Amino acid sequence: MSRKSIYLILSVLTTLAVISSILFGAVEISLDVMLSAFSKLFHDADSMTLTERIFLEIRLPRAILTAIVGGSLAVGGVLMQGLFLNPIVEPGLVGTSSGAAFGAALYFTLGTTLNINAGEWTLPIAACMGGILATFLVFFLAENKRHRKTSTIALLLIGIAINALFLSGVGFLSYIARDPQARSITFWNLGTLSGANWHSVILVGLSCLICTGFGFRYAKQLNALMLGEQEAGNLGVNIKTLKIKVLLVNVILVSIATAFTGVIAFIGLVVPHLLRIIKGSDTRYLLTGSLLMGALILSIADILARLILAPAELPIGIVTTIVGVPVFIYILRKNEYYF
Amino acid sequence: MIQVENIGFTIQGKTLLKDISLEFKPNEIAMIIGPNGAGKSTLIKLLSQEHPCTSGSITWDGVDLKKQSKADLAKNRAILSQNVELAFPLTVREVVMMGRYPHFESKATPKDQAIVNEDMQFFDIEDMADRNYLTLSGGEKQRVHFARVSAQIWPEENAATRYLLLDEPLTYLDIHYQYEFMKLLQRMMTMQPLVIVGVVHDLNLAYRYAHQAVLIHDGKLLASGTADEVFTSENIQKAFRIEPHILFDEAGRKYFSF
Repeated sequence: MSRKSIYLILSVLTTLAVISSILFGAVEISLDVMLSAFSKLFHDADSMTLTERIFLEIRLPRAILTAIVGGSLAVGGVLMQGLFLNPIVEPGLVGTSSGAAFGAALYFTLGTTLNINAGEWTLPIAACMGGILATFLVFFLAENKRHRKTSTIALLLIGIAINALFLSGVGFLSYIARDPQARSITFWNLGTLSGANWHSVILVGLSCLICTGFGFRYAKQLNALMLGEQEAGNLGVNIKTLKIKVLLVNVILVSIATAFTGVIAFIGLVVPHLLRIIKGSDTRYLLTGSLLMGALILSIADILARLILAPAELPIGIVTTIVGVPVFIYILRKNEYYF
Repeated sequence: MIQVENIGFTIQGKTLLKDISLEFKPNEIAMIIGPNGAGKSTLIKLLSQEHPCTSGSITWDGVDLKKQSKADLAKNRAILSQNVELAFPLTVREVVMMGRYPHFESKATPKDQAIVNEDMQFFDIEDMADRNYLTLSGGEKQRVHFARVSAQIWPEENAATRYLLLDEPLTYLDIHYQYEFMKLLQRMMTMQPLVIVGVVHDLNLAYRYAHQAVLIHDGKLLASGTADEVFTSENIQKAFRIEPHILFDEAGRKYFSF
């Protein structure tokens, strides 16, 4: 199967998943409603029915945000795995998610008290800062000065420690928080797509576009890195700056996505792994494939999350974890890569 | 031409190389020999600019190596080492294409594709172009890397003198691959002016193919010159602390037995 046909199949499936995600829900939305809502949007927006409004203001942005976040998390997985030369690295393991969760929890509990307010951007900024802090902490501590390389085991162990630290911080904050705030923190930690609106779609979409673009710029160097740092250096790659650039791109990408949806684990792990099974590990292929397949898988997970306990909704992070953990264990046990 | 003048390398107070002056000419194979820990690999690392030398200078066609960016250097200088592993599955063609990375921006041009095709033909690996690199045997893998390294310095019009450094690339290869490798090296030299400097462990192999031999012992230059000048019983005994028996085959060529 050629790359183009893989992209085509994934695009078709993703489109179908996004449309189904719009159709399913407490209020049924038919294709007719979708079409009439679009036509009214430009002619007489005031005459829209309630269903049409639900479609345009709730269902559609949610479906699109889900797709974009899925793509972003999967691309983040590709970048991290390429950087650490290890298929089990994902944002959840190296501190990005727990750091972002801590930043968000800080905002939920202390934001109003400390009078820190940047409007609707406060939460994303807080989460982003937390994510950046924790990731760089893990990366910095895992760097072995003597061997000038990051050992995977050191990375994972330090990741565990830093995750524990930040999650206990989150625990402490929810402990001292008042009830509604504590509930927001819990929701956020389990991931939720229900807060989607057009603002978040635009911001996460932009970050996804820009960061993935940078990903493509570094694709060649990340491929070369698969031969090891020394060989990549022989091919003219400046390893030190590459590491910092890729890490920065990844942390911005994942933190912004996480800021609007909360912690959604394992997408960054599962998607690149499936793509590698289909057609190898060329970074350009993985990036394009991850955008599409990440969108597809998170859209399906979101539909499941809304169907399993309907009319109630399961937090999306729980669904992705239930699917992701067996895949993670499978990869570890199969041991087809080098550790 | 590579000119090495009085170079030395000291790290954490330990001097690994001292006062080495050498000259490497195009279309000659220079073999560096010496016992373990003598500083052979260090010399290769200095020549490749993986480490900058702490004293002296290395110039290449008159240009100081330290003044070149890594990216520019990679266009004309390639290094073949031993046992390169690949962290993720890629096809053989994708691995060979890596050799072209210093030459294109983000996507391979038709010229790079053409070079990779020609290169894979030269190394007789077109049949495995779409195979997963991780499933190859050790000898096949090294052949693919040789092709990759060769793609990096593939003959081009108006190119500067290219140079190829060999960092014990024959370790772990069986005798068939070792000699085949040397023949490929000789064929590569007929395609363009090429400076080749390599570290090889097998003294017989080195003696047979070296135009220039360099014997290093204890971080210092013990002897350099033609193979016959360097491969003397006295030099070998001094460097390796073992006396060689020098024998002659039917063609009258020298070989060493220990």
